[in-house]
Amino acid sequence: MTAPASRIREDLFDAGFLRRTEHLALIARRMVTSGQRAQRRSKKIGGGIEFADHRDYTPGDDPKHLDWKVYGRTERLLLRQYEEEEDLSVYFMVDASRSMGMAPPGEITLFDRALQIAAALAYISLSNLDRVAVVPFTDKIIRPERSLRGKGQFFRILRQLSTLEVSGNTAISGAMRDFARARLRRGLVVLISDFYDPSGLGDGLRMLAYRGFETLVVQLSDQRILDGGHFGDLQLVDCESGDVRDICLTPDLLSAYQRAFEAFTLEISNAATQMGARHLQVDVGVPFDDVVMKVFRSGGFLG
Amino acid sequence: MNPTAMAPMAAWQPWLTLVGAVLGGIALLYLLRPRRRRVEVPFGGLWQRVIAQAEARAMGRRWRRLLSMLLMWTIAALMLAGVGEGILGLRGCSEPRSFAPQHTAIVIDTSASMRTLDGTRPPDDPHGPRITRLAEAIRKARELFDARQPLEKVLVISADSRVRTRGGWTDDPDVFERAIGSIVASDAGFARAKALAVATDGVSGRPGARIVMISDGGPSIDGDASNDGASSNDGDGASVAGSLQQIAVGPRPKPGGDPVTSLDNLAIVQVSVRSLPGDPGRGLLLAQVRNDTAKPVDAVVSVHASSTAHSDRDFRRAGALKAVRTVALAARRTTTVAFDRLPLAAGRFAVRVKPGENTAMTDLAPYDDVGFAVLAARRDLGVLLVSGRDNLFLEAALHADDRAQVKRVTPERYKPEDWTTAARGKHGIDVVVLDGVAAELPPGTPGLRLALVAGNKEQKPRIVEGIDLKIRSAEHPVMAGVVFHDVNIDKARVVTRVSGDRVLAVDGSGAPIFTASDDGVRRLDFGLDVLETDIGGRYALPLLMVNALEWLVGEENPLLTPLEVGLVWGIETPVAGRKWTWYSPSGKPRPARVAGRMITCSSGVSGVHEWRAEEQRIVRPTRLPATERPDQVRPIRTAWAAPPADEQSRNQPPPRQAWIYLLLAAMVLVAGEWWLYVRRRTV
Repeated sequence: MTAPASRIREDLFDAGFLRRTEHLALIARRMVTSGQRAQRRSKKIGGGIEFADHRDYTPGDDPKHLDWKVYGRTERLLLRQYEEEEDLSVYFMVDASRSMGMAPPGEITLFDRALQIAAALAYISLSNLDRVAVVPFTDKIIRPERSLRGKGQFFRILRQLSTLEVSGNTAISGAMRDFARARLRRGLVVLISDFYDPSGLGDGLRMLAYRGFETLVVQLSDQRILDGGHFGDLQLVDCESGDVRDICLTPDLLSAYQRAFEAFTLEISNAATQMGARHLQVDVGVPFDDVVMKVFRSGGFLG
Repeated sequence: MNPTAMAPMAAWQPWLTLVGAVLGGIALLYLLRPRRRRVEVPFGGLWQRVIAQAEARAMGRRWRRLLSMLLMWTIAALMLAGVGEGILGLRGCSEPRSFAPQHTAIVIDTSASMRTLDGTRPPDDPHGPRITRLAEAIRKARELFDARQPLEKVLVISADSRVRTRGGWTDDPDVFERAIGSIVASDAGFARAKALAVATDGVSGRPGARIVMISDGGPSIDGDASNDGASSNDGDGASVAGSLQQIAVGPRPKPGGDPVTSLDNLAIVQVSVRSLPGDPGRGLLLAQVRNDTAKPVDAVVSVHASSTAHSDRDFRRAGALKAVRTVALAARRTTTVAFDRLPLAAGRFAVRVKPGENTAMTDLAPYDDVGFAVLAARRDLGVLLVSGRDNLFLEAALHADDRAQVKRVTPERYKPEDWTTAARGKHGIDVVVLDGVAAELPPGTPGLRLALVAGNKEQKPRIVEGIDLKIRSAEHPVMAGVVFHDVNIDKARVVTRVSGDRVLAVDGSGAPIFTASDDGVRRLDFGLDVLETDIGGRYALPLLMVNALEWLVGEENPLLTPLEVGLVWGIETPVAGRKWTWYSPSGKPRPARVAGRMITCSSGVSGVHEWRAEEQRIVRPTRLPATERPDQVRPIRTAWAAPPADEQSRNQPPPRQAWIYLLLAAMVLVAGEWWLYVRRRTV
């Protein structure tokens, strides 16, 4: 994170990346209606024109919102509620722990892929006039950037992303606690991580939900370690904690690991579902534009 | 693995060696294998879950792996044992290397000392009743038999003074039990050399020969077996391929100390009986009693008499108790106990010793607690007295021997040539006494010449007067008990001494007065005239005459010499051509083996032996061999010719090769590594 702020990592954000990002933005425009106001509805009930719900009348409420038609049919005093449409704040929380920086030599890391995904989604959000902020974290919030708005801020976003480097251990609950205490505007949190946190994801998501944030969980995984070539007696070293374990890696054990990883992914998905978040699990080998398309198709990101 | 299968194994040895080396190399490479590769993973916790799940699921697999490992090592151990046994010489500490045929001759000492009740009790009954050394020996023989190798046969040999094989070579437990069950200890000594010779003959020419001698280490009656005596040659002149293993039973002497160990034992060493002069009905019985304990002991010595008893049992059952005496026996000493004026009518005596009632000890060797004595049969002695005067002093002295039948003749009627052997036999003349007669003794006839006068061949003796007679050979039987104090001698004649004569008494100048010669025929020359001294009124003269007569006829010792148990006895009979029956203490009468006038026999039973032929009787007591003292045990040592070097190397396990140990060590390390590997929570 000590790289010059003006430098953009051209290996990640090259012309091809920009061209494909623009293409994704066009696709996104076709999928939603564009306008001055934010294209995505917020969960806030307020002064919008879109009917949201009824609620019982209580003394002190503005009588102009009473639904007289309902009163005529049911003789019950109900107030009409409307969704308040406002420009959306999108926070791209990128895991910058050491586990995200692991990759075979010459291969792309989870962290690089996370940066590409965040950058692409940020461009689309900026194109939709949303407010975008990049929030890197490890076991805490590293350096929250202020929210930016407008496509003109995209290269600033890229520079912010380019300055990030991996360090520290993953502790999602701690990072989310810091994020929740920052009293930022409510909005959409795109959480991109491998979620290799021994304490799990549930507490962190619960804090975000408590603060009224919507969350999109993007779980990056790396199946390349399962590609073989490491069979036999191994000494596994945890890149974050440094714990050492001796194993004899066999095909059976590798299959067991795959099953364990699937169970782990299911835990992440369940935790996200319980907190009303959407979960998306993608492999690091999947190109970022495909990931973005999966985000589109999963819903919730585009209005 | 039978011998036929073992034979071709030698051809496989290079291959097996190669296989062993490869296995050793593999084990070495396994130990020196590269360390584990370090692989950095993003999330060790996930692997931890995998390991935990795998461990939880792998319990059965772990058991299977453990069983598989055990099976693998069992197979490896069996293979190694098989290879090692047949080829590499790995085997038990002292067990034969192969199952080649073996022959073991077990020699069991059955001498009298093996009846001592100080055998080591069996481990499963350490507080049981006392057992004899023989019982311990038999138990060890059974252990040897039970531990025999396949194809090993055993020959049981019992040995005291006689060596007997009990059955033949066998590996049948029933046959062995019959052989071992027939062994009993005797009263005889142990002929070690003879036993080894018999055992050597037994194993001669047989493969895998081995001799095991089980003994208490007592002295041998034929001396320690020398190499020459113990080893024998086969037909090719080569030494018998065998080895001797000696197994000791009973107490062991302290190493480096006195071989004689004190033992709680009282023993009758010797018993003798003789009648008293002048009172044939009573006599003196002397018993030598030995105390082997290390402390003084009060003992009770009793005498039983019988006229028909042969064994100790007979004496106790039918004998009459004649005397009992309590004596104090010094520690580790032999004490002589005398029973004087003992009635001798029974003729046979058994003397028994036992601890006194107030003596707290248990006699461990009861077999030597009894001794036997027999009063010598008395016969008449025919004495031909040739005297020309009435020498009543002399005749009275001759009659002091109650056996003497004196026949007096005058010198004129005496012609030496008339008294031939036949004539003497006809008239019952045993001794001729010449009293002042210038004549020769009959040829071949024992005789006494008194008051020497010049004869045909002798010169006139020199006369000495007023002499003080001194005994020169007090130990000679003729002079036994004789003293010349206060004997006044007016004059005496100096005996002309010839070569071989023994001077019995001299005058003050040393001139011989009494001489004795024994050149096949015993002669006495006394240069003393009874009538010229006052010796006739003294006790010395009859004693001198009795001694002289008994010495002349060769019966100077009235005691019957006991026969030693176990030796071959030669007993002269009075007459030839009779059929003699032997009545031994051990059993029924049986015909005796007679050659001419000699009875030859041998017995291992102590007691009173008797031979009868019509009215003739010969009765002799026995005594135990001096070697059969229960406390005379010596360290067992191998007195056996070591097998030749090539035989020795064949019978000894070959030196184990170092690489075998390395391979074993490597396998142990691999096993340990395996164990540690499993414990490292490795999946």
